[in-house]
Amino acid sequence: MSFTDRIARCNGAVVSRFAEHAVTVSSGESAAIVYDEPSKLAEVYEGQVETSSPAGSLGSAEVTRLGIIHGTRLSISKGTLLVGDFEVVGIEPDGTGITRLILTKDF
Amino acid sequence: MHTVEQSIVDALVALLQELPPIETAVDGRVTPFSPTELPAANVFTPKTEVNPAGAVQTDHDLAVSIVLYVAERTAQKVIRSLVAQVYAAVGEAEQDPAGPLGIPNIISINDPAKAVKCIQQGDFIGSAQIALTITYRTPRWQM
Repeated sequence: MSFTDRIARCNGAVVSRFAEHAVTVSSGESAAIVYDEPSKLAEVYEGQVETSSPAGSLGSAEVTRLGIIHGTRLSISKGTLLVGDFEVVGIEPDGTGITRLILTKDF
Repeated sequence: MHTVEQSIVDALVALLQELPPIETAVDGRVTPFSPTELPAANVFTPKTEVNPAGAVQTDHDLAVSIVLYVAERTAQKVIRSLVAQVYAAVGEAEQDPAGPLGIPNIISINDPAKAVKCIQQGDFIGSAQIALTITYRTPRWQM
């Protein structure tokens, strides 16, 4: 088994083990995603605004399968609970099979 | 001790709070705004230049910075509209028969300038900084 194969197997295990959320695109197709939304302070001029940095990691092959590109609108859910609707503003492949999607709230 | 400068800031905060879109208007707040407090307006007075006006009076050029914050999907449009509403309100208050902003000490409100910045985090955040110079007169050693 090559190193690439081992990494791919490891990535698959990580996503299936830790992903508690699902990402669904407009076609209705979905995939498992490791979703997080840490709080963040945005500094603008003299003040600060509380916001967050929603993002999610999933297999790069799934990103391709779902046709996710910059500007794609998608939904994140946990079980039957809709976490929210988002727009993809960043796509960051790690080069070994996992891609992190940088999201912004779509409202 | 109450000052003309504080009266000016209080008048601006009151004026901003009366604008329908503004949820929160405050005087020089440095703590973060939560999403439920937006749209917000924050009034700062970063600098004052003082010039003698005769032997017993002083003219103050008070630099005022009004910072607006919104979190909207169309932040750019919303912040431009909000800036226009602030300009209109200041323009109306400038014509107050009691003096600009209702304060007799104020001589003029000048140099409206603005800068707009939008950033994209979990929310689309739009911000605008409106710079004004408010000139007012007091007896010497007062502000």
